[in-house]
Amino acid sequence: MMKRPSYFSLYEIALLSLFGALVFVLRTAIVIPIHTPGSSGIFWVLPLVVGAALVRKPGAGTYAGLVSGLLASFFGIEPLHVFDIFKYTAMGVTIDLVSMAFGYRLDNPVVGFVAGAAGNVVKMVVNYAVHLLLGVQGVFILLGIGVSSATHIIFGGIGGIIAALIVGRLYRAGIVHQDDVPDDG
Amino acid sequence: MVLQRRVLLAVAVLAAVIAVSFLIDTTVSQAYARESGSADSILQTTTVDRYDLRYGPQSWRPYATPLAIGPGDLPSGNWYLAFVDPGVVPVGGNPALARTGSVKVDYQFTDLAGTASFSVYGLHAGDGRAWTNRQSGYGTSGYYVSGTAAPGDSPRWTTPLEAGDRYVVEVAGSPRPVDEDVARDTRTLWFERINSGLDGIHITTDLAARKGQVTETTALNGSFYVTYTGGNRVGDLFLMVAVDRPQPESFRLTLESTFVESNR
Repeated sequence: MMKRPSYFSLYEIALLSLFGALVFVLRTAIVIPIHTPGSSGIFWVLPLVVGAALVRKPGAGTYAGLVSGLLASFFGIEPLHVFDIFKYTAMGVTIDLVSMAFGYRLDNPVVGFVAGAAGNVVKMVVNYAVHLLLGVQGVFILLGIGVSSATHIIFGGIGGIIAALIVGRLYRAGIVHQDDVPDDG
Repeated sequence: MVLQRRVLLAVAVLAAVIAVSFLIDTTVSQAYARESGSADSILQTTTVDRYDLRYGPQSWRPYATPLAIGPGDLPSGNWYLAFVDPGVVPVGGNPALARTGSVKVDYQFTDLAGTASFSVYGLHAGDGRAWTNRQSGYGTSGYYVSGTAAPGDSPRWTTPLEAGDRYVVEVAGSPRPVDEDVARDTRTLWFERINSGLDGIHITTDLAARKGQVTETTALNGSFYVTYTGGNRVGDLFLMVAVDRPQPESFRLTLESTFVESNR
């Protein structure tokens, strides 16, 4: 009987799992004391964008986002606990969609900005939606959404630019090739 | 060229998201957000009588979990509560970037029966989340005044608050409960979660001790400060005055509040 090849190779699964874990580690270890909503997005989007750029397969960002969401919910680092899975996964899904729309040109800082900003702002929207579902009054959530969406886009975008510069450097150094065919692990 | 068009489209979508968010924010702010506190050094005077004590009898005060009113950790006693808007807010943050300062409150009781407890509640500007002074553990602050007047009749107009994480409270001085046709002046206090919102706002008698302390006194005239050690903007400030006895008809509390700028 022929063994059906898995969608992600073992190497890719290991890489994406590490990037997913890195999101959680960065979120926990680094606190930016500027009290601005979305500022931690700089670190959140970075491993997801780099992971999607290196694996270059639809679903790579989603997989890494799901891993980070599972870790965040199990460790309970945020008040939403198990519902954190949704916002981390949504961020990964968004980065996947943006990557596909731009043909995985994630070494381009502008594309990196768009991917990071979109991922971070979708995370914010999903976070608000979960709060609404849990019964928090809409007015409390919607007040301040203007500044919050702008800062999420800016900080997510900065994270995306940094990720694009890292990916570009990896391409230029020859460590990763843009036309690499992933091995079978 | 295709990439450029897609980038322009994506940037336009992100800009539209920001524009729509600001539109929603402005609409909701105009409909719901009321901020009455100012940081001007103008003296604001408020008078409280027995009819302003609209909540109780109850042993606790609002927070994500009930907090004690009297000195100590555990809720006890039968207290009657009033929420007073002093009209002034403390300002925290970086003194190089903002005119930071505290609120000085001068109080004067007339015919106080039993013990009066002062607590403070601050509302985040914009979103309604609330802070209050810590009731137990490190950083506890509070102010208690004891009086010797004879208690009055039990008030018939008070009702206990319902425990939860959101409280809609009437502000003292707004139309009295008898004026059913007139809209009450209410504010919503919302506590996001337990252990959050307890370390921003404090009561102190010494501005050098900004985190405050617990003061118990028999002086019917005196003063204390409300300090804020967080970095957010306080939109509204409320003093919760609670008394553990029904007050006589002659009971009065006069509060004079003013903004005191921090020394730079």
